[in-house]
Amino acid sequence: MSDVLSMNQIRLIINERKIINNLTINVKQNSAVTIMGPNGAGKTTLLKIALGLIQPTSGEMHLFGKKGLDKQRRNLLGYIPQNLGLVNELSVFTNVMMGALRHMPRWRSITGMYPKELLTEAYSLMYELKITHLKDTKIKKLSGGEKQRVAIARTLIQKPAMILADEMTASLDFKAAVAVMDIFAEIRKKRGITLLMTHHNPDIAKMYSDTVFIMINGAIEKNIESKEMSEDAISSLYEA
Amino acid sequence: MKPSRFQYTWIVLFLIIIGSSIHLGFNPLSIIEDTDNSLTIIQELLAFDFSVGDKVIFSLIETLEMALIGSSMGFVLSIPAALLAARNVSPFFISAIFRGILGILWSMPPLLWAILLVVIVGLGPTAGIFAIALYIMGLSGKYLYEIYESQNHSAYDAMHVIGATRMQIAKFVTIPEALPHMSNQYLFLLAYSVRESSILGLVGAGGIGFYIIHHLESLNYGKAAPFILGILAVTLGMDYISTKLRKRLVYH
Repeated sequence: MSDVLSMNQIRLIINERKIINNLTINVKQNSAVTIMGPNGAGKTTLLKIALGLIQPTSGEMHLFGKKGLDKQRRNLLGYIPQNLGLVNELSVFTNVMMGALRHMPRWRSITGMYPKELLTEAYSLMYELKITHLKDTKIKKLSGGEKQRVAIARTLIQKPAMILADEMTASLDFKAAVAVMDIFAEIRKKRGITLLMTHHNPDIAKMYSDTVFIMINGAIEKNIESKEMSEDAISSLYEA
Repeated sequence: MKPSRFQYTWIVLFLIIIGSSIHLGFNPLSIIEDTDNSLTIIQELLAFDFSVGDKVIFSLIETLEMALIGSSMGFVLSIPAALLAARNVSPFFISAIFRGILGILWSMPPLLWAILLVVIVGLGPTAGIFAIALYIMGLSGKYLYEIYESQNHSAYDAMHVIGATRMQIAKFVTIPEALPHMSNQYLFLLAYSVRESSILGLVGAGGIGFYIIHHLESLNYGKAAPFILGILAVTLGMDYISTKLRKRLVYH
């Protein structure tokens, strides 16, 4: 299978500090990849470089087979940031529709006269993620798990080929995280979306990804097939 | 024992205050030196002359109306101005220009704006309304762009990845996230504007201040007293209502 994302010898130096240090990573189409590592290892920065939110100091990046990142290929990326990036004062429905901004004329987004096909898509996603009954509720009134589902719906309505998720279930207990990830994994597989996520929980990483990369001090130290993962294996990778 | 840096700071500050007092010839005892004169003024003020009651009511209504119109105008204008001044929403050069404009509006007190505006639009409440509006626009704008800039960065990142325009970001993230602060801020500014409007009459820009200065200059302290009492009651009342409403907004 071809690589959807390929980062080669990426470096990011800020104030003489090496944030990302000769990082190389390849993510195959339709795969689910988790990046694990201690706080400050550079996991979030790596995702932001892949999304074009941060420019690296040097290195090469290929996305969907082409060098660099243009608007067309950026439109194939979905992003679930740390803290989810939802707007607390707006309803679930509006937050989901925000994900569809790139698929409608600007005047429609400003006036709130959304195209019918996008409305259908939004309702279908809310149904799949079991949040239809919350459509008029403000985000600030939702539980952690419900917020995750809204963030997923907002990302899926973008019709991404690849989703980059930054510790998306970090605020949930294990049971709630599994409930959200089960739904997400099912939809992801059905739609053939590639997933690159960061996570702290080795159990979640093992259950929902094919490969786990261990990142330390701005570089990928090792990678392991999730089938082969055990707690000892993870600990030894961190110690490496 | 050697004084600490903190103690040095206070010592230096104290010396500056003493130096400034000497420079200005300020004598704190002067307020009690001419006791007879002070007592006479207080006595005359306390002999309230309520024959001016209708004018008190009229001028209080005018003051409240000036505050309401002026602060609302200033507040509404401050919302887009702050968007243009916020570094996370606007390009650098536009943000720099609008920060400068808001800084100028804010740094001139309403009384100074009123003096200028009386020359431009003439005597009366119109000058006062514009003075309040300009000052509130500066004050509210400065406060708002700081709120905009301190908002959750992850929502902005998500919008950038979606490819949202600046206007879409303002509509979907910046303004909705600031709304609870805005309502709170508007109520505070309204109460503040009532206080400010009450003195604009001193320079002929409408409101109750005109009557206060008129009666004080005519040495009719008894007639000035009901106006002073009126503005005290309205200011305290507005402050009380505004605080109550703001508390309710925080809890909802």
